[in-house]
Amino acid sequence: MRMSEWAAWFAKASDDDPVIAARGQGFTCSYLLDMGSSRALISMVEGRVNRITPDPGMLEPYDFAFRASGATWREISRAVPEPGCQGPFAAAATRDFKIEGDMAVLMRNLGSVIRQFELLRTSGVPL
Amino acid sequence: MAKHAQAVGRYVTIDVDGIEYEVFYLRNGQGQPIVCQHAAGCHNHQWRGLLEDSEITRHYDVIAYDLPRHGKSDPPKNKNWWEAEYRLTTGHFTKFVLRFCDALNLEAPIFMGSSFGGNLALQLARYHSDRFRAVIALAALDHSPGFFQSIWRDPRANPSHAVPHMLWDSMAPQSPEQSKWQVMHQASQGAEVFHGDLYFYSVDHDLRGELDRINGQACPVVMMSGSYDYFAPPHAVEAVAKQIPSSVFIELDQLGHLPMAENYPAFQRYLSEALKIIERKSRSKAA
Repeated sequence: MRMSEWAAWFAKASDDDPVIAARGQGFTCSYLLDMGSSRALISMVEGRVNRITPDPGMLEPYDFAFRASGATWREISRAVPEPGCQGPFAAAATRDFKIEGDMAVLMRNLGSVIRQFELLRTSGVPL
Repeated sequence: MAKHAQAVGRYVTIDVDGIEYEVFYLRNGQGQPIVCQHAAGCHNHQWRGLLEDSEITRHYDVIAYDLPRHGKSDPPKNKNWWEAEYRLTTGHFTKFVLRFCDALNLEAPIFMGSSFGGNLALQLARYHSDRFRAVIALAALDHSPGFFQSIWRDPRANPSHAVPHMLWDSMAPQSPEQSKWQVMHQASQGAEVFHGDLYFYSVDHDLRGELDRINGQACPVVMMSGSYDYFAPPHAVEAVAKQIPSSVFIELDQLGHLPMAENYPAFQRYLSEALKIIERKSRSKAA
């Protein structure tokens, strides 16, 4: 899937997700998905996708970032991921997955961020 | 007609190091007692599946308590506990379990613990093998460094949200959503004590160099790890088990860090296997 198609799909899936709608009212932050050859900056405001910026510039601000190789992202996005790829902390503990940035912002939004992670199992990743 | 569960809840008052606790426990069954310890920041509802499993309770007296400060077991009754930081130590945790078993007049119970309860199971096997028929250690390691972090009590991180969602990641994708959300709900109630629990889990518990001194003949040790558990992954738990004389390791396929709670039906067959192993070892010990 191309980045533009993926971004549109991901935004709709997140905005339509019943769990994020029910539990993510304060979900306001921005984070980077660094997938090696492909990057996307997700900006959330009050539980809804404000903007997805493909391949953001080096000065684009964000609160936290997830970085891993394409192989790890592909495994994370499988319908049933292998052990160690079921979420960001599992991947950080077992793979080349890095969590960087403001951990407090990540932690207070963790439920919705993990939910968006699981949406990747349906959308795949733009690689 | 109302549908009642079989498990019955009671409170028992015990003294640990001069500290008075009113301890809540759920109990169901008959025969060999199994004392169950929940995971950090959680409570005894993690064992509800087991407590209502007639296949097990037909032969086993299942007792699942809330550790003080968790669930319905309040903090100390006779101390200004709010004036001191909570840090659970190995010594206090161990004594609590021994005093609890004394209070219920349990003779040679099997102790089964999950996560930090699994680590405690190894402590009991190492230092109190004469008190227990066997231990079942779920997701246990000899040492679990790195988790005693200030983020767990940082108000900017909203621990009551962060703690349960951290656990979500440790459960298997195959486990039922209903069960996983119950785990989340239960863990969200324990964020106040999670950090202090992790003092035991990640700092004070350290059995490195002690595993080969566990008397696995006197107190058989069964260790289990779920294939999706990244806190205590199968390869690490198996490496610990290999150092404990006569211990048995069982890998739990398509389960995670909290197998008894996230998917009890899948866990049950492994537990039944563990109990059969303990029965065999107990018989051969008696012979």
